[in-house]
Amino acid sequence: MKDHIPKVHTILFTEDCPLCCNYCNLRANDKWETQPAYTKEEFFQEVADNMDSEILLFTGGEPFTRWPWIKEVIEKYGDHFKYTFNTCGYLCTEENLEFLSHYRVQFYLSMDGPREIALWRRPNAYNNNYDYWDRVEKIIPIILYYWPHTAWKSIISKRLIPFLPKIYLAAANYGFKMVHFEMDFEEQPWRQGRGDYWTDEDYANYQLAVDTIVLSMVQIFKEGGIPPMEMGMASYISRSLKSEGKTDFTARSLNCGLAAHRDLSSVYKREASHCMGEVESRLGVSFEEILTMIEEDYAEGCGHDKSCPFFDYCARFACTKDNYSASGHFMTPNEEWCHKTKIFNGAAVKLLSIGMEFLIKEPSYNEFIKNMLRGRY
Amino acid sequence: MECTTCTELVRSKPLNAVINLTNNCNLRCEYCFVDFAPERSTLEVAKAACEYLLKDTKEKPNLWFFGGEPLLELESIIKPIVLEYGDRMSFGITTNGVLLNMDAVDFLHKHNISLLLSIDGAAEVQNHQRTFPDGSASFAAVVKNIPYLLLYYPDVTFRSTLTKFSIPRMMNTYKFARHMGFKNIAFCINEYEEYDNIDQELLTANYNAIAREILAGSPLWLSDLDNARDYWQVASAGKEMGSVYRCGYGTTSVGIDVKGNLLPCQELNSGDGTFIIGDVFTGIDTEKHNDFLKMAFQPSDVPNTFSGRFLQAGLCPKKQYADHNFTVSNGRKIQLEAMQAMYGHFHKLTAFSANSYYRRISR
Repeated sequence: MKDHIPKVHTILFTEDCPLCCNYCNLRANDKWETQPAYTKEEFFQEVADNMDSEILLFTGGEPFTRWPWIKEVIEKYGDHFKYTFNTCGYLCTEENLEFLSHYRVQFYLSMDGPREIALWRRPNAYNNNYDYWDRVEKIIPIILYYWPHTAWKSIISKRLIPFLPKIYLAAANYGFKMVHFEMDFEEQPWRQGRGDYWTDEDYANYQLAVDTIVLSMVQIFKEGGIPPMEMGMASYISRSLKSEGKTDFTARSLNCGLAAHRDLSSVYKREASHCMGEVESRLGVSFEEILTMIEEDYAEGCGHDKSCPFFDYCARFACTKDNYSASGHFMTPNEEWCHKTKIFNGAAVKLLSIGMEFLIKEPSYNEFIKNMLRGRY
Repeated sequence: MECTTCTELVRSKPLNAVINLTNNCNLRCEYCFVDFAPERSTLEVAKAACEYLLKDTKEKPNLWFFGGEPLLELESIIKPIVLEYGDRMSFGITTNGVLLNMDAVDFLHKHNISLLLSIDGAAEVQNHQRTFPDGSASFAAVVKNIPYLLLYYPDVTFRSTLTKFSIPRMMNTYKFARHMGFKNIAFCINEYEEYDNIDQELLTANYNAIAREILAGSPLWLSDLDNARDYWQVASAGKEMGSVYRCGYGTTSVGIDVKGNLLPCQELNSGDGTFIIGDVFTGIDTEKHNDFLKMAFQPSDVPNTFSGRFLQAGLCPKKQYADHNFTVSNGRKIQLEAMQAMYGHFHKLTAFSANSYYRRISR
């Protein structure tokens, strides 16, 4: 019996995936392909058990490997849920996208393009065809037609840093409005053995690459367009501009919806549990007590840098569970998050500064600012 | 007979060398000419090679790492040499790609080392022709390294060896290389195999099909078209040209074996010392080199016609001299005839200036 009503219920129901991405957490994990996927009955039961949730997030593996099940669920429950997909797009077709367009659907489209980079990062698991990009490129216009705010997501490893501006411009050329650069922190021991963890030099190069992207954004504004915005930058700009209505921090204002009870059931642990389940059992405290601890830690400030200008942003957007795992403190993120926030929030500040100086008369820039003030892009 | 051209050439010291770092290799290609003895070069020999090339010159010499598989000596020879001589020399490497992991690519790219990738084709061809010593397939081991390589070496040449097995699959090889994102491909025929009329027809047809793909806008350029253009121009000039002018044969370029012996060509390593013309410690023995060049300039069995001159311009003197007793190998003959036919069609459709322009825009 669950003691909470999750807003987002995530189901990791299969590890099956047609790709073999070279940074994949699952494949770096000893558990890979040892866990039996949900049966169709289990999958339907899982959905039926979470009727109170507002959003169903299908993830894997690649959720579209079980497209007939998903279709059946959607036909059965219709608009009762909003359906979101963590997908690489490889198995999306015009037909299933057209079907999904009739419902409340959102995509987290992890692509790692353009083509030459996808070939490296996303090899095909089973046939050595390296055909990921050729397939996904065909469905990009369809996805953007039905879901124009879908973000282009790229996992950035240290070796990809020099190509970051190229990736950004590719996203712009394909017509994306949002890009999401997720850092691949190479957390797995086997990767650290490979010597791929990030160094201060890498972060400095990352900063330079992101600054180059800012210059590209400025150029696009100058040419009358609205450039794709990096999600971290967009949320920071939006929050910065909306001085009115800023709320005091409470554990319930965490961006991830932790306090709104996001939970997960997976092939690894079929019983649904929310993010803090592990912390709860380790500390022997209730969920409500954890919320109190989060607020107390907020009052103490960040363990890295008490004067950091981005602390409030970090407090709301960083993963409190990861923070606690890394530092034993809900408001002290790991160093990687800290670097990332400073890089992207710093880039957002630079964009706004340049905008104030050079773009203030550009209609496209003004439209961008208005959108940011409205909290959407 | 005194050959003044040769003696003049011999007086200039080579600026380019191809050094055999090891006879060992992690593959056992069915056509390979290397004797897989476990002989390895040493850092001292490689350093002496660099000093030899740098001596008495103000220009920047080039040392090309060759093998066996030279990346087997990445840590022991290549890295120390590049770090010590990188500011005074340029370097290159021919590799089969098995050991071309991300760290190796990073190092090679960081130090501006040129690269030639020896790979035969898509899975069917690669796995048939290029196996590991235990007979297992090599395709997966190589192809996984290609995407990262192409990020840093977008213009690297896909060098494919043609055999009776791979000639019918040439177009498939071309399409595979294009799919992986290569921009240059070169075909080199295995000259130790005998080919028949069917092979020749298939070779010609495939070359023409590839040229048509390029004319239709394919972004993968065929380097053989460049070579064919050069041979065509030589043949059009109306006089015979010894192939020594192309490869140097110990004049502009020299081969260095694992012990530091100088050879007219890196492939002229008979093992019995027949072709040694000096060593990296004492330099070229001019007398030996002269004697060798006089032999190498012997005319081959090629008539002085347009096709004959085209053929002669494209011959590998090493293979004529060492392996085929001054005659043209059947393999090279059918390849050059096919290249001539291909370039003939290509030439009619696009003048050379337009060709250059086309190549530029197609990239």
